Amino acid sequence: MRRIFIFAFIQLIFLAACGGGSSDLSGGSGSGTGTGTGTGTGTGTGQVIAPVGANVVQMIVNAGPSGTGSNATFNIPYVSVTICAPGTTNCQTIPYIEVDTGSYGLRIIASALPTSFLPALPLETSIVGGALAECTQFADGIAWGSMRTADMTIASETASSLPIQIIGDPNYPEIPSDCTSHGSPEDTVTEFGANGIIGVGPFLTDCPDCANDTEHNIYFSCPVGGGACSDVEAPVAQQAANPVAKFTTDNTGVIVELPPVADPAGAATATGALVFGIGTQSNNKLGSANVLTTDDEGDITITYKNVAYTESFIDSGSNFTFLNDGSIASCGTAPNQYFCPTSELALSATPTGLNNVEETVSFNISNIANLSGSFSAFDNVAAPQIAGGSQSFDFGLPFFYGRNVFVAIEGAVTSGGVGPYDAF
Amino acid sequence: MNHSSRARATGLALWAALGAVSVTLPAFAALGGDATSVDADVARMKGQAHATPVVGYTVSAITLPTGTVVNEYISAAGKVFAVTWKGPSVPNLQQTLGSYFAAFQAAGAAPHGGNHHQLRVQQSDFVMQTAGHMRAWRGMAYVPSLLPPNFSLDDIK
Repeated sequence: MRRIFIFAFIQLIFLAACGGGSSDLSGGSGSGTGTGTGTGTGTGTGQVIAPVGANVVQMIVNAGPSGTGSNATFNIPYVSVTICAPGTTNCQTIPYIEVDTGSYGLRIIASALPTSFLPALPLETSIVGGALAECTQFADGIAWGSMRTADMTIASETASSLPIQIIGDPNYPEIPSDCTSHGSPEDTVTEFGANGIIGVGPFLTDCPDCANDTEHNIYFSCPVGGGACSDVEAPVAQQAANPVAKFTTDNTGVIVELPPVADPAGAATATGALVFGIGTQSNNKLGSANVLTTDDEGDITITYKNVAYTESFIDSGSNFTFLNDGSIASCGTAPNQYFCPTSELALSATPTGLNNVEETVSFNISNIANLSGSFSAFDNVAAPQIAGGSQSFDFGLPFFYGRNVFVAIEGAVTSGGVGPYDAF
Repeated sequence: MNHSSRARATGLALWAALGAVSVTLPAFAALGGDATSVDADVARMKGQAHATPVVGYTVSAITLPTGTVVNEYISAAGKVFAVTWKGPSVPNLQQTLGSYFAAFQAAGAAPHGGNHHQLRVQQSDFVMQTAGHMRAWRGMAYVPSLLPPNFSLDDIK
């Protein structure tokens, strides 16, 4: 079933490309081995991408850890992180960690770690004495696994004793029904599309309400050594936490910096930077960026074709821009359904913060059937929100190309005000 | 406005919409199922239901203890033809979607480019979209063959 969906999609765009679309099919692999550049990269739009440094790690968009064919990803940005047993030099560096401004916390797929390393990461003990585990809820399913602590280092920044989730921890394979009732598990690298995910959105932890409420079905306590797990309250200090806020410096937020990519052709890969801190160093100043404060859910308003979508968001973890527009043709078979206008559309939308600061931005939507199936970076792909029901415009990774996007963490005091906010 | 206060406001608005009209509050039922007294299901979700009658159908808003609100659209024939949800956590979708849950599971298990913030399911007699980010998940699903006559999808809010 899963292969049929994606194979049909790949075949669709491949055939279209062969039929006279993009001539850049040989665009090269360019996988995640780019070197740290020694100078800031100007992109010709006033954008400067910070060179790799103490608070900057290289970020790359490519086909992902499972590479090619049906399991290739696109428009997903990745970084490498190093995790260590707390207080030791027993460490592992893991590539292909998805950068997600729409979630909070570091989660690593167990199979991306050597089996000998996992026991070095201490389990968190639940308030009822078992091993704490999490059922992370996403829109497309759930990720199940233990909660452990690790020292996480990225660039030269370290979050010590950070609670992290080990997705698919083989020591806790029994997923409780209160978890599977929320969706299908995505507990392998292939299913997840990454070796892990680093949630660097504008909040501190993933479920503050879970500190005194088990009804979310997010945190569980498991008998150490295995057995049936049950819902449990998880104090905020034990929850998966935005690692940036735990840094000793540069802890006010992040900047997602991706260069422009060719439009309409896209690019095989795109290499940019994830910068830590806002206004803490010479390379992370807010400058002239507009600050759009978010509500307490992380949402802003985005106005598109005179409709104000009040539950909208800007999200590096969404690989398309998702919007509601019945006037644009769509193609493909769900879940891989996308807009396919006969010619590229030039559109605009206006994000507006809770503080009423707004900025109109232009974007394009191309027919994905004309884009190269071997490319991974596109600024012009969009997909339909369902008719009715949705008050949301989701500006995904296409929004980020050629634009530095600041995400300030709740409570962080910056030159642009107190987080949470997005700025660009 | 935080999640729970927003949820409460929704509930209050629905009560206000009821006005002096007296209706029987429908119990919780899965998409495609009958809306007749499934008290056990209400108990399972630990929700509180408030109904708003509209011409041709009824909307039952169930506020869960988590603050997430599940809206059920119930036809005059007593069938749940659409559901929506929104809130800080995803509701029990096995309960909410009933027999259609398997289609959601299958779509989630199919490769979809590494995106965890959106998922769409479109079958001849089941349509669903989920979306959002942590702390604010939303979704909707409906059964085309059960839609009331002259019902517009734009009426699903």
